[in-house]
Amino acid sequence: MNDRTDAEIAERLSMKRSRILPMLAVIFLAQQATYFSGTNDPARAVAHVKIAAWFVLSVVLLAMLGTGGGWFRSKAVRELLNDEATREHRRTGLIAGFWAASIAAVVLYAIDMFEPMSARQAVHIILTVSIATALVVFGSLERRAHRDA
Amino acid sequence: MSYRPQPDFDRPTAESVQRTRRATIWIIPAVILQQTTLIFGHGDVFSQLLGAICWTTLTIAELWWLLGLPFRWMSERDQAILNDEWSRSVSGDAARWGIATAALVGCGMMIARIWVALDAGVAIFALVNSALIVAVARSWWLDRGEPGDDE
Repeated sequence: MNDRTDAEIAERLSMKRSRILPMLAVIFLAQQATYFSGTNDPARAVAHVKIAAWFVLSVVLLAMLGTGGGWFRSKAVRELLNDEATREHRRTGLIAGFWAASIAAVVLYAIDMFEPMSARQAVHIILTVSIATALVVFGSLERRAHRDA
Repeated sequence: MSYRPQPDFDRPTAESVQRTRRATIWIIPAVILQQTTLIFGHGDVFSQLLGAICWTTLTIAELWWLLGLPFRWMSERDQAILNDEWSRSVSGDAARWGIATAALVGCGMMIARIWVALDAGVAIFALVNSALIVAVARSWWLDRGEPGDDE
């Protein structure tokens, strides 16, 4: 009885995760608009708050990508939630994220030769592109798997 | 008696690619060090541009080697061996460590930027290559078995 309940919980959470991940990527990217739209004087306290907010969200998303999430669930549910197919999707997402980071770095390096930018902006863009790509790929693979199931 | 048709004799096989991958993975950090001297040496614009193009090409080649893009010119059987579950698992874990390193180094730079003026080019180079070196190290650690172990 308990096993079935765990399986149902895991199934429900997995469906929810597949819907939320692409949304999280959109929210994450939209959050960067506020950072890059206004003037960002590093000396102002608000700049530190913006950076801190971005950093906290990045760490949470990375931790979710790295571990698969479900931190507040039982071990049995976490194991069901991170089955072999999900682990494979996560791996693919992380590889895509790594590629995206490297390509973004190369593009920014080329841009920096003609249009100088700050180190903080470069780091911010590279990490954002990497995390968002990993989220979108992981989320879309999960969605496809649920659709085909 | 030959084991393979003659036209394929000199072509790389999955096994030879795996062996080469294991044997040459340590070259990546050495290449990165070499790139650093080329890009950040005090040369003119042309040599810096050349360095940047070299860096780009080598980074993509290294990623291809490390994260296993398909080797399209190989047979389906060889591609299947090169992208088996274990290889995908190693690549995925290496990428996970690489991204985590990039996040840590990026965070360190964000904090260091408050006190030290950082050049964007140096930051980008350090961020990507630190992630690449850690991913290579992780990949080497997971895949350190002898070539014959799984055959």
